[in-house]
Amino acid sequence: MEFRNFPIKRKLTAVIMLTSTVVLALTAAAFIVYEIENLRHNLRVNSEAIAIIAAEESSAAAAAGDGKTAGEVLANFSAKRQILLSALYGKDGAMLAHYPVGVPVESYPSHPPQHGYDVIGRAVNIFEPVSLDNKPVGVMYLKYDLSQPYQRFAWYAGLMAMIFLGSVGIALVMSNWLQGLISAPILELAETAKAVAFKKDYRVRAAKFGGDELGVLTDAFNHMLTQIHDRDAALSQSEAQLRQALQAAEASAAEVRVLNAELELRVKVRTAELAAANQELEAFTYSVSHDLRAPLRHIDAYAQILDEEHATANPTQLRHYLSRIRHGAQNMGRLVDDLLNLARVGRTVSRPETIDLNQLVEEVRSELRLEINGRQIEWRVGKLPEVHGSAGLIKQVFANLISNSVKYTRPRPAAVIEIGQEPTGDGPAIFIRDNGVGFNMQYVGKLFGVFQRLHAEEEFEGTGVGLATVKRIVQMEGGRIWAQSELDKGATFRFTLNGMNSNSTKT
Amino acid sequence: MKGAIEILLVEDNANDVELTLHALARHNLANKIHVLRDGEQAMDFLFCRGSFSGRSFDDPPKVVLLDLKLPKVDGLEVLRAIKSDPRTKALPVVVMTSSREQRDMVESYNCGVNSYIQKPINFGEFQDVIRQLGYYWLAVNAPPPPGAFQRG
Repeated sequence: MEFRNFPIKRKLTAVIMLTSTVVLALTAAAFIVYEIENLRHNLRVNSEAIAIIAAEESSAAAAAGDGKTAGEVLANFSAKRQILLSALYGKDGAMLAHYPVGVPVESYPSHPPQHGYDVIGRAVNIFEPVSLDNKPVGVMYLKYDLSQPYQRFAWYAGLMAMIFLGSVGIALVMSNWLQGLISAPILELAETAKAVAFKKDYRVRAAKFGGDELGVLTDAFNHMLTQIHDRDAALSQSEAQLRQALQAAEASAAEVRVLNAELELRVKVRTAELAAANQELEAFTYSVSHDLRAPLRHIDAYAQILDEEHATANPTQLRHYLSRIRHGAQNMGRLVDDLLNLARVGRTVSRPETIDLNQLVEEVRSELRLEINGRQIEWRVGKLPEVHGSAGLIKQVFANLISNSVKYTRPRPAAVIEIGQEPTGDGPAIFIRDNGVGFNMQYVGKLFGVFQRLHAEEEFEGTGVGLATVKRIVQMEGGRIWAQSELDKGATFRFTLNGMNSNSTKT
Repeated sequence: MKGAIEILLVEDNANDVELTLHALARHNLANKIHVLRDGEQAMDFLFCRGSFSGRSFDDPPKVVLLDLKLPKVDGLEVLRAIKSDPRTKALPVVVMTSSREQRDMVESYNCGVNSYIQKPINFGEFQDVIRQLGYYWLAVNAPPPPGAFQRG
């Protein structure tokens, strides 16, 4: 771990310890160096002073060459001091006396210099000239023991070391205590910042430890937190408001969408209705331009032929032209009636009532008795349901379909017309079935169109408006009509009416 | 029997048939005319099928007078069938109708009709139109040669 990544507590301790240790070490070193120099100097001054004294005390003996006296002086002198060896040399360099006496002569220097100071191990060799009346008379040799001053110095150094260690220990304890003054507020700040960062809790505050820069920093930090907290609160509030507004907007957008969809659906339905109405109207006007003009042309044509040929033609021909004119006029009248009826169906205000269909069928049959007269028709009328609708209109449906069956079974010697109710894919439906000439299913699409006819006029009379009217009524009554046939094998018309369901009476 | 039928009249209304024949007869043009009463019969005749399966494409009429408002298959469908089949495409077709509908005219010409005639309400005018028409298509106009009809 690098120093810069150390926790601030350890950093502070380390800084204080490093500083105090260096200062203490330098101080101790200075003391020791001074002490060593002082010791050396004192040693030399002391030991040389001893040597001078010894030289003076033995100068007479040296001058006289009296070894015995010299030996006494040396013994007397050396015993009192820390003298290990001592010797006196005469003027010629010969040893006059030495101390202690037991030490062999070889242990003493044989050619002593006039003057010398040599530290060897824990002793110092000192040579001092001996003079009498300022005349050199010999050399004094002393070997001085240094172990005592050395011991004292060692003790002193040990003391210094103890003081040093003690100081370092005290510095460690104090730095540990003092660093808290600086690190505690910083750590508190750091902890608070961490709490804010991780918990996003802007309500926590850092404790203040004093009025110093760290105190100012703590205050500033706390102030910042207050501001952040306030802004956060404001932000949350506006976010909530925004979300609310957004939800409201979404809700209203959804509402608008629903309304739009409804509107679109309504527009689509209305457009389809309009398109259907338009198509019907177009087909209607188209057919009118074809079919309403034709009888007028015929009337005019036969009238003109009659005019031109009445002088030359025979009575049969004349009667034919007249009958054609009348036929044209009648045809025109029928077309106008049927068209008016068809138009009226669309405008009829439906007054729904409960209708007994079996009774209705009987009424229609009795109204058709002139056409039925002389025909052999087998009627098979089943049980029909009661329905709810406009009696006048529904009667027209039955009248049209039944008279069609009567008409198109005309070529059959034994006609069969069946009326009843039966289940179909679309639920129960009323059916009218005959064994007439039928039609090709290829043309089923034209069956219910205005003025659409599948037979020539003289084969089966008709204006081509009947089934169009029927279809319009059935649709107005909320039902559906469809037909099925095979050429020459009869036809079946099925239709549903409002109020018919699968629970209705079956045949 | 080549050239047996010169005019094919497709008309559902009995009065119109009689009046057309009357007008043609007055100008000696009604000899070789065949009358059909609805679109289905016309298709069977022109395409030699059904009750006309004995007919041959080699024996086309000189002109087809076609009403538009016909039972079953209407005149425009017949016209479309004639003009879109290479075996009948060259056949001259004259639409004769009481319709004054613009779209009938547009549709007829788009299908390739050779002539479009609105039946006049006035019978004198009608007779004159029929006379001109018969004279033009039977005497003035050169009918399409056999090579104009492709074999099916």
